[in-house]
This record gives sequence, structure tokens and C-alpha cells, in this order.
Amino acid sequence: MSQVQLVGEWQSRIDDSITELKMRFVPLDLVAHWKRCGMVADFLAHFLAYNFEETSEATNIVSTVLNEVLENAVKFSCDKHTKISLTLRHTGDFLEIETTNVSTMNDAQSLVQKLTRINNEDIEDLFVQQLEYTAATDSSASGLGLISLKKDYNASLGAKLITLDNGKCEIVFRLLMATDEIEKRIGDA
Amino acid sequence: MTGAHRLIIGPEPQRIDDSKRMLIKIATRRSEILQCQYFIAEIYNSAYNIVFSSDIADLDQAIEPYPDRYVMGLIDGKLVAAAGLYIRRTYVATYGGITDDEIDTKITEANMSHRYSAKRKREYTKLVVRGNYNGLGIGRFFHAATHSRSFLEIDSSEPNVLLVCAKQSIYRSMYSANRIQTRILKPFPHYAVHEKYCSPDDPMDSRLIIPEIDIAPQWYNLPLPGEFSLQEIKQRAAKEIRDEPGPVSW
Repeated sequence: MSQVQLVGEWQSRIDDSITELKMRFVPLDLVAHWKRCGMVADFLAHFLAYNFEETSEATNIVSTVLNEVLENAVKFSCDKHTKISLTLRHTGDFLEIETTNVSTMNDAQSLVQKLTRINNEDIEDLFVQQLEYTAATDSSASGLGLISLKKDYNASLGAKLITLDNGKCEIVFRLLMATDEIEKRIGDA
Repeated sequence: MTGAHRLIIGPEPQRIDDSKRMLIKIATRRSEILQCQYFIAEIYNSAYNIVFSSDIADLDQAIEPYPDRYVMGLIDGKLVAAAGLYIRRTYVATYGGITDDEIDTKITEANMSHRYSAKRKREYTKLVVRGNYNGLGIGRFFHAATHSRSFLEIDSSEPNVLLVCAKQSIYRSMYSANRIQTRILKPFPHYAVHEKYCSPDDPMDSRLIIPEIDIAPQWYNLPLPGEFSLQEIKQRAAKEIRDEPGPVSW
């Protein structure tokens, strides 16, 4: 029987979205041509940006966030032939980005630990700790992506983990941003 | 990650009917090239968390460049092995810091400057074997057979030197075992993206192959496309396991 675990800030504030888009991908298509992640993020951001007054700046911010979330869904797909999905919802007050992918249990548990820390520790401290860790380990993966989304955009991050019969884990990752945060960033730019 | 080619070790070998044959051919149709690219990308990503791009490459971001040409090994029409060739921008020159002067010096030392020049260089790269076809000798045979001039000299009317970048154990287990001599150019610089591939005990270096004198004629003159009996490939692999591969001594 499937087990379900909720992690972090899972609650949705989207009851009835004004704008909604859902795309499905074969992860291998993105692994084989990594630039496609950025292209998809740019396309969706351009599409959504018309909901903002300053479309150019909104595009940049939304594209950055989408790219990070999409890349994670691809990276942590254990079978690159099993489709992932990316859903974008916008109410005017909130922007919600949701991805679904199937990962190994190890990767799922790493995500649980990361989300737990992001939601319970001081985000600035966590950012510095991760920077130091990356420098010390000389790793090609910085591990800063999700931390930056919380730190820079005050995004709420949560996940639903569903243990599958084959020992893998379906991850539904959800990011929620108040559009005020986007407007504020546009104002700062 | 690396232009270095490597044989991916995967799951247990599957049982394969010895009466089958492997077809080795150069990928020419668009569908064949895509098959090779996706096959290489999938295996490299699985083993080393690497992704690929045909227009941007960034080793710090683990984004590797694709080769320009591909050769494929098929059993019953299924792609089981592939390798690539950089014919424009070589990995060894771009990321390994090898200059044309260094290559020309090696060519001169080998008294082959009448035939070869650093201006005409290529790089053999991205050798992969489908996981459950490992351990049967297919990878080593495919490696040797694809050092045929049919592949290495594709789209060229003049001889090209061949560059390669790999960890030292690969030079011993593949090149020396296949009687392909390699000439050391210099150690490959450190990139974080190689962390799952090499180690301080088994570092990477860049090497040069002068095909006409370094590749055993049985391989260099092997016509491709060609079909090869799996029984013979397995027997050859068994024999080579008994043989002590010579040291890489350049």
C-alpha cells in the first residue's frame, strides 16, 4: 500500500486560478539537451508575464524560479524515461509551481531533510552554511537552488511523497510565491 | 563532464545467444544520430549526473558537449554500444589545455610530420555500452573496431591525429589490451565534474594517437559497416583476460 508523507509548507492557496498551464516531459529529452530547461522556463515565464505590469522583469524572476524547479525534477528522476509534469497556476495574488517526478528513496529522503531545514532554520545562516560546504567539498552541485528560492523570493516550499510499490517515490513538489514578492523584486530592480 | 570516454559498468550481463551478430556502423541518418545522443546522455547522466548540450558546454555546471560524429553497435537492431568523435572542437584542446605545438612536438618525435599535423586532429570520445551488455567483451571489441579508419577519417581526405582523454586504468584495460598505443601529452586539469569518474589513484590525462603507427592494422583497416559474431567477440574477450596487457609506456 502506498504511504504518503507531507513535508514543509504543503498547503495550496490556489482555489481557482486565473491562469493555469500544465506540461509533461520525458526527462531524458532535457538531459539530452539541457538548454531545453531554460527554454521551457522562459516560455512559461513569458506566457505568465502578461499578468504583471512590468512584463520584462516578471519574466526574469518567474523564469529563474521555474528553471530551478524544473531542473530539480529532471535531476531527481530516477528513470529518465518516466514522464514528469510541471504545472503553473496563478490567481493574481499567488503563483504556484508544482512538479511531479519519480525518484529513488534516497533522493526523496534528501529532499525531506533539505525542506525540513529550509522551513525550520534561519535561511540566511543556511545559505552561508551551504556555500561553505560546497566550497569545502569542491562539488559540481551547489545545493543552493531551493535555499535561494526561499531566501530571495520568500517562497513557500513543500512536498508530498508517495511511496510506490516498486520501492521508488513519487514526489509532488510545490512552490508558492505571493505575487507581492515578485512586484517587490521588480520595484527593487 | 568529460570528453573522456569510458565504459560504463552496469547491471549483471544478460544471456545472449552466441549465434547473434553485432552490426557496427556509422550513424548517418538523423534518427541514428539522435539515438546515439540520447543513449550517451542517459548513461552519462545515470553514472555521473552529467547533462548535454549541442550549443552550450560548461564543465562547472556538468554540461558536456556532444560529439560531432557517432558510431553505433546494434544487436537485433537494438543499440547496445555507441561512441563519438569530435572533429571540430576537441575536448582535450578546449578543456585539457593541449596546444597545437605540444601535439606537433609529439608528431615530430615519432617522425611522422610528413603525414600528420596538429591542424588535423580529432578526438575519440563517449564510449558507452548498454548496462546489461557489459561483461561480455562487447565494449572492448567495439572500442577496437571503431578505431577503424572508416570512422576516424570520416569526412576527411587527409590523415588526422587522434586525441583522447581518459583515466589511466582505461588506457591499460582498453587501449593497451586492444594494441592501440597512446602517447602521453599531459595530465588533464582538475574539474569538479570528473569527481565520480577519476580519483587521485587513477587520474586522467590527455594522450595522442598517431593512427597509422599506433593502431593495430587489424583495427585501423577494418571495414565499417561490418557484422561480427558474438561468439567470436566473447572468445576474444576470454583470451584477453588471460593475456597480461602491456603497460602504457609512452
